[in-house]
Amino acid sequence: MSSSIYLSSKNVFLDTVNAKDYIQLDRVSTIYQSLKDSIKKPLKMILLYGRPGTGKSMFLSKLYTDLSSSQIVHLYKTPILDESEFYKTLAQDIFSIKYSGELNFTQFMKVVNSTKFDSIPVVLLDEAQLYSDVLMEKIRLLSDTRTVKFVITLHKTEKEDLIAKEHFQTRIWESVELENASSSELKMYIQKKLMKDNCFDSANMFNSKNVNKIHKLTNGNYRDTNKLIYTLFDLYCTYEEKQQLSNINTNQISSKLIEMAAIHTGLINA
Amino acid sequence: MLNTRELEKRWLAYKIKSYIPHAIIISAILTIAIFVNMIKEAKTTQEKEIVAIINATDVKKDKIEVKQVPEQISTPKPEKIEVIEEYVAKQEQTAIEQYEELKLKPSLSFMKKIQSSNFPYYQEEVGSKKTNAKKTNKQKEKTLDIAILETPTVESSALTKINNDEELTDNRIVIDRHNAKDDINTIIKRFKKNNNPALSLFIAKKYYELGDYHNSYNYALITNQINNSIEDSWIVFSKSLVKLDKKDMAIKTLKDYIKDSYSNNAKILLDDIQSGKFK
Repeated sequence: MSSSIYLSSKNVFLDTVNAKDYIQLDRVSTIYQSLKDSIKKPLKMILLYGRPGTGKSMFLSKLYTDLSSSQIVHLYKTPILDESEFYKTLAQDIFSIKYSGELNFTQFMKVVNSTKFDSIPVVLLDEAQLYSDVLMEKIRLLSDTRTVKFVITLHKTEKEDLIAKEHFQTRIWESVELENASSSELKMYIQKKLMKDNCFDSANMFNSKNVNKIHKLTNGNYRDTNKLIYTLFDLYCTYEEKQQLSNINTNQISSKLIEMAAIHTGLINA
Repeated sequence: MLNTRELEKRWLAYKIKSYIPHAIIISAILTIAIFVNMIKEAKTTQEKEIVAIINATDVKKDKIEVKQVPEQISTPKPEKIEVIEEYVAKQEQTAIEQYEELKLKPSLSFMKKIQSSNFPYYQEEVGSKKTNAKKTNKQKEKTLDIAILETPTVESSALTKINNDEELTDNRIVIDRHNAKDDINTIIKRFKKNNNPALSLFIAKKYYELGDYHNSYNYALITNQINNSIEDSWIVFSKSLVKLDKKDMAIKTLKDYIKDSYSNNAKILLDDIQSGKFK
């Protein structure tokens, strides 16, 4: 096994949100397809929620990539917390109107109501739990005009559930929940991810036992899994550099190294 | 580059830490298992000891029982009677077959049979005493003869010729007699253990046979106290009283008993006492 494989395998699991890194899994694909279908429906709002690391940002990124070729779609990965800035950004991106000064909600609504599109533009708002309640209420009012469609993502916590219930219960036509991966899904995710980058040897190193261990440690969370496997391959790289790889079984992933990676990433408190 | 050495140390500490609960659980299970095993062993040893004690006592019992066996065998009368009866029955059959053509006549000897079967001690005053020995032998012979002759009242000259002694020896019927005093002592021991009225009656009869009328009186009295409905006991009691020169008391006792039981044997004995036949 050449040394570059560990390095390339490590880089596969860099925690980045990139649509090209999206891994097709059966359950996730079904959810994605239903979300995509929901966009076509005359919905005011779509809520995408789930615990951190379940792939919400990746979903939005993938959706943006897929939809951008066919309709007006804007993705805001980081929230625009200033209200005026938020309206100004939307006015510029959707309506191509550039404001140098302040833009309040009333002015922006005038712009929204005065414009009609053939296909309703879609605004994708990631990390919507960071928006203030006031701004969220104004987003709701904007969606009521049916001139702009919003797809928002929320972390699933008690507080955020409350937001979902109170602000969007009557308006959201579709809500999609993302969940952590099961053990078999996680194995498929890891192997597909590696194989996508031609790391076939390292993909074969993962057996059910190893993946179960990883699943136990990460609870099927994609972000944690990425972090853990990145550190795992980092350890392999380190041993390789120190020429101590002969002491480690390279035919399959070492349980010891998984645990060491978990200790390093804080998944194991040792 | 990661600090693998440091990570390995932390991993080792983590592993040791993770094995501690397992080690505790395993050691606890082992301790419990050992403890349970010890308890079981202690129980089994206790049980073995108990079994050994029981076995030891059983052996003793067996020994006692072995000693008692001859005692039971030594109760000669019933066996003797049975043997004689079997023998008599055989004789009767052969006699009947041989002399089927002979005429049968009524016989009043059944009265004697009643006396002999139901009231053996009246006739069998057998004892170790020399004075009674000859008399007893004669009575035995009489009993045999009577038994043969009294059967279905077959009157035949040939039948009377049958020699009982010869036949007995031919059939090799051996009846052992044991020392009656020893028998009584062992039976007294048994009676003291279980308080069985049959035993006390047997002792009373034995004492009566041996001429120890005082003891026969006592044991008959004990028997009556345990069970007052045994006819033989009352008869032995009354006979003992007569022998102890308490004829009046015997008559009174018999009269009282007859009043309650209407016993024929008691009546016969009462008549014999009153008429002076029984002294």
